Amino acid sequence: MSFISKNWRGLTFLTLGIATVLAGLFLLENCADAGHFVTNANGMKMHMGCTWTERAVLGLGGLTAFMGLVMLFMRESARALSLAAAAGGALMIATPLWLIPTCANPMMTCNLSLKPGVLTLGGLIMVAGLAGVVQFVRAGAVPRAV
Amino acid sequence: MTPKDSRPVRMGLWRLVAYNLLRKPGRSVTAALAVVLVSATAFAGVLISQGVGRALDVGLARLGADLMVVPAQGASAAHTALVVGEPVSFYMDGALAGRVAAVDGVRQVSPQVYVETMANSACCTGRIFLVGFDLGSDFTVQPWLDQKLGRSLAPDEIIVGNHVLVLTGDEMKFYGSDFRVAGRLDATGMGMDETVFLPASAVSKIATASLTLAEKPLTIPDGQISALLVRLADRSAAEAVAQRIRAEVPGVSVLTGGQIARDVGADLRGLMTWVLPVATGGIGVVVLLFLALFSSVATERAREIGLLRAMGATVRQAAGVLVGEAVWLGLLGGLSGVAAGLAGYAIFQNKILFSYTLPFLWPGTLAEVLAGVAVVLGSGLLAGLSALYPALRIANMEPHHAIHAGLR
Amino acid sequence: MIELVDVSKRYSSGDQTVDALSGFSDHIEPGEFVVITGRSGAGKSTLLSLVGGLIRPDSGRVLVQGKDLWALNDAQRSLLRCETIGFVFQFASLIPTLTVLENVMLPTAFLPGGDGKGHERALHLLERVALKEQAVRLPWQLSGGQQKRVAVARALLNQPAVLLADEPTADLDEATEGEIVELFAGLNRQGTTILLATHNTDLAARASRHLVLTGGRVTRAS
Repeated sequence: MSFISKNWRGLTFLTLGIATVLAGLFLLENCADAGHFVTNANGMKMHMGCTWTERAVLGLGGLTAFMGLVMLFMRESARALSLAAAAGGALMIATPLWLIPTCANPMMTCNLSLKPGVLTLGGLIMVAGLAGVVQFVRAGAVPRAV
Repeated sequence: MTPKDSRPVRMGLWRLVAYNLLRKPGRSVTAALAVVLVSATAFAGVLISQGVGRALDVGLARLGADLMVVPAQGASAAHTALVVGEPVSFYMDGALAGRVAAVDGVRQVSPQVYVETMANSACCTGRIFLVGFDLGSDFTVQPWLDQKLGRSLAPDEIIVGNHVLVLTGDEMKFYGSDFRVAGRLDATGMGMDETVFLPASAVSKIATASLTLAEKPLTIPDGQISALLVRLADRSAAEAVAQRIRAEVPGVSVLTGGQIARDVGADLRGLMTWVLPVATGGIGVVVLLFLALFSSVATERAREIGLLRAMGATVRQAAGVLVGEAVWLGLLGGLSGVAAGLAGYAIFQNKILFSYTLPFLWPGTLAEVLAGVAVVLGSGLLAGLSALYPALRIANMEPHHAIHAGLR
Repeated sequence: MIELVDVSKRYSSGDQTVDALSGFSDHIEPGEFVVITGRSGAGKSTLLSLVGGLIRPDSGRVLVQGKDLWALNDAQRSLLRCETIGFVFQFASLIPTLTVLENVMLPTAFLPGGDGKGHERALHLLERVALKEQAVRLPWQLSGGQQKRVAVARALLNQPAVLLADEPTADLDEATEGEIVELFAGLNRQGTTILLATHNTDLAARASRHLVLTGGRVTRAS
């Protein structure tokens, strides 16, 4: 079996985790990136909630990448960690929707850029995580060592 | 395991097909992913086309107007406001209402005033589109008021479009003046959904009060309006009457329902200029991928196919095993693609509609289901047809050669 | 039962041609146990494939139970193979993703209308080859000899009148080879017509008839 066949779970989550972090840092925009802030009573400009949404997603992306790395070195943990990664993906989806919601106005920058990107990445991680839990017993003539 | 664990089974080729798909899951998933990409793009494209069409039908009908007259420089902004509810503010002389009403073919005219404002909420700021309508002549909001509220609006009441995120009874502040939400309009898929409606007289009062109450005062030149909604004696004469208005009332632009639909159609084509190549290019990729994949599979499994023939499989049955695998990959990929297309569109809906200035109203469930079924079945058929040639080639091989080819 | 009338088969590859079988004629009675020996390339596999309708002769006729195989269409010929002929090949030939039981039952998939009793018969056959306990295992979990016994059980599922075995004991140790040959002998005693191709001339002692093939022709028969 090739390196990729044996380590596809670890490679997948390492890639998705790094992609999430990079997307959050350089690609996806929140309202602060577009110059929108809340002005408080003292006239100070404050970050809106979507800034913290993005921070949380960066953390979740880092965690996903770390789990992928662990899977590469501890292959016996790959299936269990896949389930954890799927939960992380679900958490990533829940972050902009409920936990740290983005702005109410659907035309705000965070809803046009950050939120769709996070939902997509979270969905991919969740699907990959669920796929990683499945073990195909009948695949091939020899069982795969997981 | 003991024999008592082996429950009675009927052996069918479908079982062989199913387990063969699991034989090399990486390869099966890769092939299915290609189908997912194509079917997701195709389904999303169909969904958007259906939704844009429905929004135009419902939205323009709900608008109630046959023509819309705006300042000459405001045509483009008016189109954007009408289609996606992007806040705009432009003004023209209110006396133009009388001149437009005098044009042959015009039955009714109703002025509107547009205001662009900021709305503050606990979490964030956003621009809101306010439309002041004339209580006496309006035929856009008034019918809804008569039907749903059974009364006119009080001076401090507003009606919100379906997508404005407030509840009936909530308070909203515009330029320092407080208003109460009296009701929410039904969804139209067009700019009305993002709009707040209030009597034009209330807009004048906001402007006056804003001098002392608002951070930034609202200035509307006296006697100015933003647009005239026009009803015609004969709807089919819309283009002719529009021409007459342009000729008799200089300095204005006239938008017709047909023109709006044509402009939306052009914007939709702009979106489809990348959707269609991706979908059609993707179909080509899927065909080539399945052809190559199943040529490889057929060669790998030549011996197995020969054995099936030796056991009594006809050419059709033997080829059917391979084609069945391809069809299942196509169907599963298609199903996943429809789900992905639906999810992807739902996630990126605002971005797409805003970027391409498109109205959208979700098509009815039946239309969506039919589109989904068509995409799934089409994916299965495409995959099956792509695998047909290599499957028939190997099934038609004399079983002796197929069996011994695998031995070399 | 089986009749071959002046059958010839030639293989061509580029400029080279090989006469796998030349003008071969024979009549095999029901219940015969015929062992066919000869060196590699003598035409043993070709002969079995011709009898089983797995390859078309260049000339001559092959009749099984009075039916000219190549006068039938593909569906008729496939049905005849399914109902009348069982094959055991040199390699175990099991489908790796099907269990032992599912492999044995596979021929029922080609019977028109299916076979409601296939499951029962498959278990009975597995018991006969002493592998009933392995029914739900996958092929990779069995030894080479066990896989060969499963292949024999599969060949017998549709109760064929004829069993064609091409080098069935190749790659097996002596003890396992003996078990397989004894199995065939037992089947023959129950009336199954068996044609067995092998390098091992010692097996001819178990047969009712022994044919030696050289260069596609019978050089000795006993």
